[in-house]
Amino acid sequence: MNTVATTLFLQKSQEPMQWWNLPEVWWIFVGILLLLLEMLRPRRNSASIAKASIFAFAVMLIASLGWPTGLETTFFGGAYQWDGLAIFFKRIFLIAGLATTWMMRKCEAQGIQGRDEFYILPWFAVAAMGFVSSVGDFVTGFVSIELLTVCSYIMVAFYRSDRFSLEAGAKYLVIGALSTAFLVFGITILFGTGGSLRFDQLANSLASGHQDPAVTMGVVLVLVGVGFKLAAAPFHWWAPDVYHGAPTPVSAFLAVASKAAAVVFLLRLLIGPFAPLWTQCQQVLLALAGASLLVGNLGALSQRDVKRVMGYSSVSHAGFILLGISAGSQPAMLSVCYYLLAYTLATLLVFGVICGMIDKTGGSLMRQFNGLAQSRPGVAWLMTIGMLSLAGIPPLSGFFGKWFIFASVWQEGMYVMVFLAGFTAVASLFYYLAIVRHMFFEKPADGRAISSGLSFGYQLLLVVLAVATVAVGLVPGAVQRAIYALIFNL
Amino acid sequence: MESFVSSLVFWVFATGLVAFSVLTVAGRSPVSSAMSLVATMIFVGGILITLQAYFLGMMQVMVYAGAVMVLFLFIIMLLNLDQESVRKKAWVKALSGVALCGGLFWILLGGLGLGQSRPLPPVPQGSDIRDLGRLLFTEYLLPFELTAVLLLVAIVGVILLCHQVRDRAAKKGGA
Amino acid sequence: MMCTLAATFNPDRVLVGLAEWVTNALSAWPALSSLALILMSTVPLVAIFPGCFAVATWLERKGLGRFQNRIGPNRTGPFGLLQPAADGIKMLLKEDIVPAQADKFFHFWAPILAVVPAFLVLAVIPFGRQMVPAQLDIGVLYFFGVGSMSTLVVFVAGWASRNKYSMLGGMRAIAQVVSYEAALVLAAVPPIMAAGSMNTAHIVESQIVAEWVSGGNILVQNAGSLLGWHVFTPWGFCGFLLFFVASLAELNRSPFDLPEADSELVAGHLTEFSGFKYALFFLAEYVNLFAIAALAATLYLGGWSGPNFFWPAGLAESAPPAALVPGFVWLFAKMFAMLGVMIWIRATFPRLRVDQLMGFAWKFLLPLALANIVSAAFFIRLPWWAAWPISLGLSFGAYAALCVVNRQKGIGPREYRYA
Repeated sequence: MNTVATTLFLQKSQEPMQWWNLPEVWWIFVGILLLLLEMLRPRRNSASIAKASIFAFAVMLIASLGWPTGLETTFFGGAYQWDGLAIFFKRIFLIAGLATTWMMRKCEAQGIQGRDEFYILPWFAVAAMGFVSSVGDFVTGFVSIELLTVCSYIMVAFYRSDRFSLEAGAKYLVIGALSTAFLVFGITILFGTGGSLRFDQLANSLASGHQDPAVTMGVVLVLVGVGFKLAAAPFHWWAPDVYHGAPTPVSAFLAVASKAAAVVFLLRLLIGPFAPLWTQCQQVLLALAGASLLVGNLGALSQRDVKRVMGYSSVSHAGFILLGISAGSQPAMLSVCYYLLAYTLATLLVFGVICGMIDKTGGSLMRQFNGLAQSRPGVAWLMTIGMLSLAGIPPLSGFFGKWFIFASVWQEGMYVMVFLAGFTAVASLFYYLAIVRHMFFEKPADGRAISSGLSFGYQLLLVVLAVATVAVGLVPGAVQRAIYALIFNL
Repeated sequence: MESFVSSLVFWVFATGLVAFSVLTVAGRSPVSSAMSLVATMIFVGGILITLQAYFLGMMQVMVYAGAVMVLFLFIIMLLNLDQESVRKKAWVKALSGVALCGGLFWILLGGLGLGQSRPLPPVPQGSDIRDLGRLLFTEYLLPFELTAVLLLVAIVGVILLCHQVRDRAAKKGGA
Repeated sequence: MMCTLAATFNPDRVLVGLAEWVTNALSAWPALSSLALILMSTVPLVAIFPGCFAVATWLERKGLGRFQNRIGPNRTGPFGLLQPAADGIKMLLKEDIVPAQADKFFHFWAPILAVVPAFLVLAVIPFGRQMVPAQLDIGVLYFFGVGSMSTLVVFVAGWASRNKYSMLGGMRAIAQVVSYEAALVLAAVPPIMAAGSMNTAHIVESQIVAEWVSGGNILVQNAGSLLGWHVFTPWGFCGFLLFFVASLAELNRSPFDLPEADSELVAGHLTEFSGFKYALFFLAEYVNLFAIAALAATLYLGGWSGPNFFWPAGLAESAPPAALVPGFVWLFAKMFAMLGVMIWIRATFPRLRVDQLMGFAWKFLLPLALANIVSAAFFIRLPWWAAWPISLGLSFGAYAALCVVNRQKGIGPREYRYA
């Protein structure tokens, strides 16, 4: 019992970390425990498991405040790295997991048939992403990405009786298999040329032999595989369909957590084995970023469904993140982390509103949100905050995210990319504001008002997310300093 | 003599591998495609065995040809795919596929520098099963354990997505 | 004189000595001698096992007859012993019928492909001391890997026939064999752990207490070649039973003969095969039976070792003692004993239902096999006074727990779709 308390709350003490108090080990443990609980639970309602899952996420999130920061250690012989970058991303995953399970609870209340595993799978997915964020060799990375993907397949296809959910599940499965094939092929070639799967050893051997065309090819294939997971154009076509068809909380989870996992995997690769090949990687990343910005933002313009818009929007945000990564400097990495935080909060907020409203509106088409501001002004304003933050309107966190990324890219002298990104950011205003227009200025088609019915807890979740979105934008400097101290292990 | 035999074995396996993988794609009926894939797997196992990775080779045959492909065939049966209705001749698609494959092959040829021999990185330890097990439980312990979680999740998922037969049957009165 | 005769006369090594003599005689031509060695290790297998098949069919028909209070075949030859020969001639002369709708290619190849893996797996069976046709470090794995091909063949046979009964038989075969293969392979794991090797020859040697056999009086010697059998340990007993039951299902034998259940499916995948093709399937089935019985004996019943009269082989200090009864006699005796039990079971038990079949594999055999592996691990690692109670408790505790968990709660509705 003493060790439990130590692990959860008192890790700041001087005792060295052990493999068994790594957070992911605990998360998997929680997942298995919940599975067992579900088996033993006599009644057939999901409330207890859902509550337990949400509670456990909250506990783990609080416990994450006690993680030891400012040190760099490795476990499992280098397969697992504990450092600030990992901590930052693990917290993002926890936030996403908490919000997602909370939203799932809402889906259950809407009478959509689900099972308890709906609340348990996020645990395994979050643990997998946690391992991705600490990844130190390719095998661990591959297995954890697979674990995450398998969890996602199941969650996407969760509403089996719904055609769209099934379609999304099938598409995601096929695309996931394809991207895995690219990833594994690339890893194989790198292993063949570099002679190791461990990141540090691979970096050494690639540094000596980076003229080898096979290495470039392996790197490109791995980047393509990551591009799929990141939903970066031209590997994005699954995103709108899957986001549209999947249960809304799962869409949120994919848009936020899955993407963050791909980002951190990419960062790990770039600061690890691919560091000697930075110039090649930069070209690929810039190409991906430009394509994503254009495709994401222009593609979203013609969409009439909010969830599909969010799908394209996530492509465009992948573009912004890739742009920041391709700047390659220390401030760029910092701005990417800040951007990701802002994106996470705003996206969760938007999907939270959609999830809460989707049974009242009868769907996620834009016109079904007509007149939301008259009947539910509070919800409409929350949605507006999320949309404006995603669009990058000044006082909100999304604006500073974009600003930091533009600044760091400008510093590197890539002016064309800044102009391209700025242009597409302006274009994105159209579709973000279109939703706002539908909520505030359009009359509902059949004249009926959208009834209320959000529980207090759910409203609390949305308000907290909105406040966080605003707050991160109000004190960007402080937040950035905090992230800086965290990810550079100060 | 020895190297001649081993290269002969390799070429036999490699030719069979390529031939059967082409047949897998080009096959008319799903079942013969699947059977070709079985043959492909067996040849891959054979190549692994010529590389003295006996364990991997046998596992390849046992897991893929013996179990996975059997399940494939089972699914093909359940779906009752008809061989005529599956595919119409689409020359454009076929040609573009061939062109794509050729391009990829060309890239591979250039990228991997086939033709020029390169020394393989030394294998850290022997391919003995004992060494393999030791590696799994030391250097690759974390991914090994994660695989267990992956399998658990996969089982949960399969049951979740497929296990409603009973509910429906119960509703119909257990027919 | 007597002493040297006694030293050189060793029935246990008659065949090995013959092989050595031939290779020595041909040592001037290395290619020829290696060819001779290959022929000497393969031709006997191809010759002996069809003979065993003939004896087995006779034994099965005669045995079933006696179990069912009949006489069984008694017209051809003494005790009907020539019945297999008569059957063989009949099969050869019968018309070979290929259904009009059948897939000609697979219909032709399925019987041939059925025989190939059945004979291939024999390569790793140690028939006696130093009598393994192929010394493979992955022997057991090879056995299962090659053996798993036979599933596909059954399926192909069923599919190629274009007959719904054949098809159903093929599908049943796949479902059944894949399910029981998991339990079968897991049941084979403990002896591998105990021997620390997948080499079948090493597994047999690990079941012989060498120092007892080479020294002491006749009692100690026989104890040494008997008591080391894995079947005399808790996990070994449990594992042997598991292996035996799972292999019954692998072989599609009663009570797991659903794929060819003649009262429901005519003869399953065999329905559309006639004449010699049918005979080939039958041959493959029985060779498979002998092979898996030989593996069971190798893994759990001490393989070729057994009670014997030993005397020092003399020539070298380290040489194993000479034995009166050759090893392969013991192995074949064990195989035929298992065949007898299988016939007994066939005569006794009714056929399982499909859902019972699946439930038995996944809910009973598989967990028990896993528990048995844990039990074996404890047994191997602990000193004997701790190993025995812990292993006993684990193996039989798991058995009891699974019995309780799987207890039938009255007769409920049947819950399966794909009969």
